[in-house]
Amino acid sequence: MIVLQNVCKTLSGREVLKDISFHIAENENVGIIGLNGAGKTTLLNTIAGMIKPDSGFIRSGGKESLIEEKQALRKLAYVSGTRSQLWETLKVKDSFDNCISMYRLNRKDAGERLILLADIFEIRAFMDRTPEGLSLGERMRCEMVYALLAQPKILMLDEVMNGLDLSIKYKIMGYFEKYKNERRVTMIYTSNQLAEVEQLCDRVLLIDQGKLIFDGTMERIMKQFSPYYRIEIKISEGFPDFEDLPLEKYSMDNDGLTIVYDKQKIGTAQILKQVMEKCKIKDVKLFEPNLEDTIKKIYRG
Amino acid sequence: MGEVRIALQSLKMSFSTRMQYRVDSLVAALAVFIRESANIIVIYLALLKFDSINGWNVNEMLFLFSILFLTYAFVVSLFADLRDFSRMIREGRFDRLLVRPRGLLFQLILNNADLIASVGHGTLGVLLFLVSAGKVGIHWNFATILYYVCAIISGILIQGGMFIIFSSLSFYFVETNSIREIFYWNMRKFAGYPISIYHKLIQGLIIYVIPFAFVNYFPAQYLLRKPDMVNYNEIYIYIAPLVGIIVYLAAYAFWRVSVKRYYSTGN
Repeated sequence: MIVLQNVCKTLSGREVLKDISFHIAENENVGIIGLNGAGKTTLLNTIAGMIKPDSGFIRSGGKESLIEEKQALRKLAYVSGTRSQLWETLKVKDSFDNCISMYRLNRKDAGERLILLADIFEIRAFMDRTPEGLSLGERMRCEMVYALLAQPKILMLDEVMNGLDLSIKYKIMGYFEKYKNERRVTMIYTSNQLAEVEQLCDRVLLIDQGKLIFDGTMERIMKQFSPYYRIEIKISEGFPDFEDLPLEKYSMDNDGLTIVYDKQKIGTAQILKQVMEKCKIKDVKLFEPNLEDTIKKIYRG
Repeated sequence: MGEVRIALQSLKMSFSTRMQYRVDSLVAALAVFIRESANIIVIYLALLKFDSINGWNVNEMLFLFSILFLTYAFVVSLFADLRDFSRMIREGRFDRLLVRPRGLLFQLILNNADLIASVGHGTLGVLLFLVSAGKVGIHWNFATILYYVCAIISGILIQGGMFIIFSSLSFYFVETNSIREIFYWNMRKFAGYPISIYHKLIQGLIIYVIPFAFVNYFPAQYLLRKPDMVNYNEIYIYIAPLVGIIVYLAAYAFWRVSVKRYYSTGN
């Protein structure tokens, strides 16, 4: 159980966390989303106990700070690109070896786990290299394996998908989904991608400029603040007529048509049908909603 | 047992990192050895002009030096991360230790060994000991050997404790290297000579504030019994092997208090 009550924090003159309150139950999967600089990482550091709030109340598993409690730390994994657990000058596999001793893991079990994880995260090819020679995405994959070796009960993942190729990203997200369902872990996942959080988390905390502006299910964010979709259509002939359609916005130039709409009010198929009645379509591009638009909508209520 | 395993593993890792650049590492260790030896040779040549300084002859002074180098060889292999601690904080490499389920000092002490400096200082220390120990009239028996070993351990703890204290200051100040430069390295230079030759103020500093006198001067007095010991209380000789434990515990307490500041300032 993680509890935050009216937590405020100012760092170098900037209010990074403004009066934040929420609870996270055991086994809950929570996504913290926000734009860059919204305060996600500071919030995560605060939950871990790395940063003490200026005011407000915080308890993680009954303690003021997770990281001052060695027993609690054995069950915690905090993966972050800015706090590498790998040793720069050592081969990646030596860092894993170090992890096994540090966390007092059973050598045989951990070794078997490592073989499995190395396959899933596709890191086998660079276990014999030092992290210096790896790309950001390759390093992050090794960091995740390091974290999962100790089979944590609390998983804190800070923008871990940055720099990953799409195919491996979906594979890894699939693994996390399985991991959290099988082991009943508490997962806190930060990202600026709605889609990632939608797949992994039941609940969303949306942070903007240090304030918690939304706390609820992913379903609700999609329904209530269903972000706008955008569609760009290239037309070779004719003029469309949208008089009676509930669109948010549309504009036209040369042969291009841009339509912004709310999926709760009107479906994509209906728009296309309407356009096709009057025009010949050359090309269609669909843009999924982004975080900025969602945040704008939440502010508007 | 896990601790021993981690210690051996870390040593192996430090070693294999060094061995990736075998020739570089050997040259670097040799460079450290030559640099330190050059200082000693200059001092040695200067001392040949005098019969003795405050009753200490050249060999006795080399013996005094040998303790400094021997203890420091262990200090740099154990406390290397604490020696470079302010840089570690600046580069953000300290944060990762916070989320691991082991004590912070435990990790800092075990993680990194500066084997190059260790070999350089250690070789010189052993050489100086071999050159001097047979000529200064020490009667080596069980008691003197036991005392000597305890004094070396205590000397390591005194200097390690000081590194911990200077590292703790990094939680309060951005720049701590110059403080350490003044108090550690300058005092270490003074400690190469019998402290009785200095002004009372410096003697006070080196006995009570930065207790280098307990690293080599008082232990050497137990073995050599030079006349200038009349200036000091005899008890100092006997507590020298214990001072390390006291300094280290004090340093540990100061570290525990100071590291809490790291959390509230937000790294």
